[in-house]
Amino acid sequence: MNEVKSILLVEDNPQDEMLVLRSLRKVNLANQVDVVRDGQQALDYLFREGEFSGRSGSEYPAVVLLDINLPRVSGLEVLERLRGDTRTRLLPVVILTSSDEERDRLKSYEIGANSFVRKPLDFTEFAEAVASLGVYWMAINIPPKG
Amino acid sequence: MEEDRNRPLYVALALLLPFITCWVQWQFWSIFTPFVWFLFFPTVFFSSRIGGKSAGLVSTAISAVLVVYFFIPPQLSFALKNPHNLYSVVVFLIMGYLFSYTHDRLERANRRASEAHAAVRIAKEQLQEERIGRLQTEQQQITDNLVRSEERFRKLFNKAPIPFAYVSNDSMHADYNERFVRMFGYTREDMPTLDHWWPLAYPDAEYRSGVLESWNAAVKKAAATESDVEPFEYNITCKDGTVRTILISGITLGDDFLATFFDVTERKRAEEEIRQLNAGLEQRVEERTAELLAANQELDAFAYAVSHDLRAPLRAMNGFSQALKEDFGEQLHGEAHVYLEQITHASRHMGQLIDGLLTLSRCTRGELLRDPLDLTLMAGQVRDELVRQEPDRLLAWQVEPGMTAKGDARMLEVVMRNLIWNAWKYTSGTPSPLIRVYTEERNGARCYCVADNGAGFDMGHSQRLFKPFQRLHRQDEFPGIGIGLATVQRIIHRHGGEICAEAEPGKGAIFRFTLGESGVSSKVEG
Repeated sequence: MNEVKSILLVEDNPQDEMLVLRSLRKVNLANQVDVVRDGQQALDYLFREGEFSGRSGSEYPAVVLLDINLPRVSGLEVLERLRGDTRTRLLPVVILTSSDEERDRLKSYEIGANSFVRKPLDFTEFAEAVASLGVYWMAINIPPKG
Repeated sequence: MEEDRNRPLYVALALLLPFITCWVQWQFWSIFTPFVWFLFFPTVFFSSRIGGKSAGLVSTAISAVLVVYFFIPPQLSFALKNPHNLYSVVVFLIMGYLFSYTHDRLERANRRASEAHAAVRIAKEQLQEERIGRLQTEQQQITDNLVRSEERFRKLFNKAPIPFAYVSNDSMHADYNERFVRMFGYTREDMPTLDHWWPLAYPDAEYRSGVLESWNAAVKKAAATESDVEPFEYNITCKDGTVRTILISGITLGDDFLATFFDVTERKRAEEEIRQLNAGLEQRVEERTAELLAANQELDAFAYAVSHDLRAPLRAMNGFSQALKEDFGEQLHGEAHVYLEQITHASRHMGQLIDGLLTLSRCTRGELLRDPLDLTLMAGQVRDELVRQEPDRLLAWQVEPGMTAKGDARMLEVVMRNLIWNAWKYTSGTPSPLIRVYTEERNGARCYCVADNGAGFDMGHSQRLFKPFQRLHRQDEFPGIGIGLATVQRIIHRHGGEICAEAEPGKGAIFRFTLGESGVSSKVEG
């Protein structure tokens, strides 16, 4: 199996998507990013179901950047499903969201998020945050399955 | 009286008596001789006895004359040859006078005695009469009193504003007052005895038997315990067919009893109405609560959406203008950089507004905790945060040690942060800035104070201070969004406390707040 590390970005807002990709591009990680735009797509992608049943590439991404507010299946529900499945039980998931609601934060950690990052409003901060996330999870962090 | 009328007769008889005696002695002179005075002593005695003193004296004189003439020798002559005879005349005259005098005294004594007797009798009679009179008056008074009392009692019974029924033990005789008749419509003629009452008042046989049972039990109990008949509510059918709820109670009076009737129909109706109103109210409260809950949830959802959805476009504005600057900065000229800067600036400001609004809305929602808090620690954390942000600013701090309070930690952190941030902000142009955080007693309440010696403000505008989006300084003087103090006030109010400010332009400002003890509000006056 080809072990090229990838990032799965689950983001329904095209502008945020562009900004995330741009920030990752700055640290040369943009071409390793797969983007899905709602929770169902994310699940299908990870479990290779539906439209992603025949997808190529690495089995599981190095990290999932997961928004909470998503169409169809919400981010937290996606996380719950991932944690409920033995295949993805340990998959690193970073909640990347606009919300700074405490309940979102607590709930995320409760159901097994590895990190919770609030998208900063200021683009400089945002770019920095995304870039460091990419570098950390792709280069520094050692995933459960090498 | 009779004596007085017969008096001339007695006098005449008294005067006639010497002549009669003279005639008798003349006739029987041979027997009496030589005792010339023999019959005349008794004669004079009787004359004075029946004729009185005067008649006695006259009779004595007449007797003396008659004896001297007829019997003293020489007979039929007034001549007195023998001095012995003269003495006898004198003795006779003295005796006659003595008789008359004695009789007169006797008579007078007699008369006085009889007068006294009569007076005693009269007095006795009067006394008797008086006593009888008094007795009669007393009797009359007693009777009058009785009549009045009876009348009063009857009036009381009849006119009393409470319906009464008086029933004698045998139930054979019952009396009802006017109010009773007015209340129920039944008259004494309708119900001469208690037995007539039951079927009229309680036409339903089953209900009636229940009433009878309960009533008899109550009366029996009252009689046994010598207390009032325990009040019970009964539905009584009036003569006009209406049914009224009556509270019947009463007292036993020996073997009889007096029942009182209170119409509680209206009260029952009012109670029922109140009960229904209450039920309605409860339902409305439930509805309102549900509505409020829904509104709160909506607000919650709204705030949540605001925090998510309003930020994304701002981030895009900010991000793309930044990207534009970074990627195409060289191609942009002069003003274009300023414009991009303005977009970034505006989006950042908008972001702060959204955050401020979210904090404000968060502070009015959710549960309020009351935990013991260390405000000194909190103030220190905020201070350290600020110092870290602007390490070059020289500022004196005075934070009182050991400040404790009870409240919601997250909310009071917002309070401390806002007040200290403000102090920090408004002392930025002050030569030797000082921020003090301390407590003081005011009107018996513990006040927490945050004071600075910064720009201050005009107290004339102080009422706008705690309103959202109201600012007392221009953006170019001191930047801000005008939501901090509004949030602070809301948090203090939720704690049951008060906040007030005291300031002077150029001299600084003091913010004082109290935290109500478990929701009891306490006032601070500035």
